[in-house]
Amino acid sequence: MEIACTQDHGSMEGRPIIREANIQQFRKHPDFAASSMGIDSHFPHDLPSKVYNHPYESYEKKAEEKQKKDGTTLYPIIKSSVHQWAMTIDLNACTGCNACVVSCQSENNIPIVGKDQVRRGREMHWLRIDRYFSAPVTVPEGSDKGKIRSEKNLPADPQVSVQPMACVHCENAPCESVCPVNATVHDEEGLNLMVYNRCVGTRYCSNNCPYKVRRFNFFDYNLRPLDSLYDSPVMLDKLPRRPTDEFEIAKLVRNPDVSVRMRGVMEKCTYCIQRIEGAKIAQKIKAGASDAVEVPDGVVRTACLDACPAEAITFGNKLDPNSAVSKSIKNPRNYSVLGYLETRARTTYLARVRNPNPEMPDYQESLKSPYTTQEYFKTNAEDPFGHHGHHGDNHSDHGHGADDNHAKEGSH
Amino acid sequence: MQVPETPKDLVRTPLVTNERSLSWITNQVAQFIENKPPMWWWIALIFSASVAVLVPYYISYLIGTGVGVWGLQNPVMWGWAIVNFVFWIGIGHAGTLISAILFLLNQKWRTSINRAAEAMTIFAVMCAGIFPLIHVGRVWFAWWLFPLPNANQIWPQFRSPLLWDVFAVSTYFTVSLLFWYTGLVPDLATIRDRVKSGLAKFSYGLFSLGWTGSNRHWRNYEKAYLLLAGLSTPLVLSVHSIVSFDFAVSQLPGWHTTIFPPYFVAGAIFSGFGMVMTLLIPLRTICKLEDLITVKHVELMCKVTLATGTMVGYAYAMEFFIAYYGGNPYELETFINRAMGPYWWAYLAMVSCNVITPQFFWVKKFRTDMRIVFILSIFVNIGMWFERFVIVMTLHRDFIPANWDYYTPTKVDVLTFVGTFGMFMTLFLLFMKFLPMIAISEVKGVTPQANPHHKLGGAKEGKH
Ligand code: SF4
Repeated sequence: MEIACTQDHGSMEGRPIIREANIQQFRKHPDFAASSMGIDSHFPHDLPSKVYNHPYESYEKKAEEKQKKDGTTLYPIIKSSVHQWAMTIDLNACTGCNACVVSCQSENNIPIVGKDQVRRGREMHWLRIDRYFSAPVTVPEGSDKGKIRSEKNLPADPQVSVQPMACVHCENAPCESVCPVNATVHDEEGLNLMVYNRCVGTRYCSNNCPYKVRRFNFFDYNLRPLDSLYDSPVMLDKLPRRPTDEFEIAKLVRNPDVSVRMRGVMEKCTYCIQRIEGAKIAQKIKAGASDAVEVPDGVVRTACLDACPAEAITFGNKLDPNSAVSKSIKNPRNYSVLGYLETRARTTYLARVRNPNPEMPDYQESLKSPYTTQEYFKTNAEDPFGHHGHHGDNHSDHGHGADDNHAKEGSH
Repeated sequence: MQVPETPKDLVRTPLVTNERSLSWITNQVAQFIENKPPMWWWIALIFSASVAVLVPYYISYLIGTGVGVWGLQNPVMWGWAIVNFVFWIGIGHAGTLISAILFLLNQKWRTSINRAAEAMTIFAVMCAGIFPLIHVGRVWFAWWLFPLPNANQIWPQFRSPLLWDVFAVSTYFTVSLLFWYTGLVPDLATIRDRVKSGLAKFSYGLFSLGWTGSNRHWRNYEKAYLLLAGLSTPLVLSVHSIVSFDFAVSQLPGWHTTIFPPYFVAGAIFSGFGMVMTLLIPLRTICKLEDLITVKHVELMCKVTLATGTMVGYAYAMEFFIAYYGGNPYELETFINRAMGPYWWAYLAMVSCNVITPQFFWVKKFRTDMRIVFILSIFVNIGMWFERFVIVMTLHRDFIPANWDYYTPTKVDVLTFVGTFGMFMTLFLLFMKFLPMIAISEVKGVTPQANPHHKLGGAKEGKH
């Protein structure tokens, strides 16, 4: 029997996607997630900004220089807006309850596609909870890595790690540069926008999104009943559409602030742009002629944030140093998933810290490291908490290349 | 003192064997157009035309319903459509290579195969062009990919490789078509002079542009041909480089590699020659053209296939090595997964067909045995399809394991592809019937007697 399931693969394969430590390790290295796991932890901290200029920076600089020189410029000067939106998700607080997923679904008019489509891998959730199982690495000691990799070898007594994942609103968004019709673009508040009306559906953006959070309307999910998705209008005497009365009722379910997408169009998390705009407009009205257009912290609440019972999600204006999200970003546990790609994600994660219970039978085993961290250690042949593992201090002083010891590790 | 004997001239194998006369060449090529088509031609045409019907049938279903009728799914947003696109575009490479690059390199043997190969190119590019068009979600807006002025004042995005594709493929198609047509003009005039029926005379006359074979016509013709050859040469290399950018410009492990452009071009030439051999080996026997498309021609094509196939093999090895040497764990995992993951069978098919098959061509016995060459050329075609499949399927496991999935094509995917074969064969059969399959005037120029020093050649009395 085939079960309709949105996630087929259970293991994280030793990749530093969810980063975890035990409480003891955390006390020693509070910034373990960013500074000793993942390829990006090997970057000298001051380097990336020199290698890649942020697209807006060079643009603005050029415009300013031009204006200084000849008084005019063809480059419009993009004044960084008063808002730069960002989100953090605390993996320590998240229990994987899925409330955010449901909330997002109803807020954003996300079509419900039925189990047949889910079985085909076409779930539409903008926000999903990734769930991984991990086992102590000592068990398959001596055997090869394939043991961990195989899905059939699910450990008997796994640890589970969960991670909510949606569009992370990359500043250097890989999805944007490949769209041939400019249907996905950046706005000046740091949002990665999806222009449904412009999308022709080449799906290239999804292929190039490292997080694979884009969702495609393979059929007219809103217009057709789920059991006639595959009916051709050419071959039937009656159009495969929902009966009008049913359609009228279905309309009432929709959020009027969010457009309903037709088939052939890509969609993805918008950071609840309708709520952001609503808050901005309200603030503008309040501000009147004054300059106080900045939305106060905590006013914009995304649907997922609203629903989260554990308050794992923080959202707000990154430009305001006192906003909750700015403070959360400064948390030492903060890290970017796949940070080494230099996508500069606006959604970052706070690493998870485990505190194993001494009363549990597997206490001794779990004391070493969380199992995902053990897998990471095994796959990458480096121990984030070992002698050479912790890179943080070295990199900030001098580059990676200058440090012979590290250059020799080589395998990352 | 004894004068050493002058060393004997090395005699080149003639390109037209059996000392065939010039009129024999014309008759042999033109007879297929002039006579009633044989029974096998009708059977083949009806069969391939009925297969070709699958294309409009499934395209209308696709457009009326949604791209969901294909097997696409969340991580694998490009499936067979893109595989088939790259496959057909690759096949379309041999024609222009043979007619343009080999022309500039003065390779005389190209003359008896270039016409058919160019026709194959044009038909293959037509098959290829279907896929990127229909694979978009909203076909009716596909024209947004063209930089047309519009009320929204939005340009297409010039950073996107898909846009480069639009330009590359349409330029390639246009130039190939022009090149093919230019080469056809003198031969169309020959046919015009021979056909009897009024309608045929009128149509061939129309397309031969009043060609009389005067000195002036020949001068203009040869200049135009040379210029077009010069124009198409960079295109041969650019089109597949740009197609490879669709993958190489993205940041996906396994796609994001600088080796792609040269490796794709080599692969395209490899697959193109494979297809030329698949078509021409039966054709030379059926149409009795063995004296024009000789064993030597086939042998030379085998050598090109061997060279490019080996380059492709080198690229496979180098990809793997760099994935290991580059030290990026995601990259390495991708390659291990290609060879040992759920799609290991596709990888195996690709490597065995593309790397092992051409190695048989080191042996002269295999190169000269038409049956063996034919069978091996089919393996080349299969292998190159699988190569594209393996590359596109890189999508199924990328950075974040939670996204991993397994892609399976649907009936619609498969039958649309089968349909394009029907379309390709239909077009090729029509080409055989209505146009000279071999460049008559060019072949005449490379016959042994065209050389003034030949015993039959030159303006000697009674030797024509
Ligand atoms: S997470 Fe994906 S969809 Fe979102 S901005 Fe980055 S590349 Fe684009």
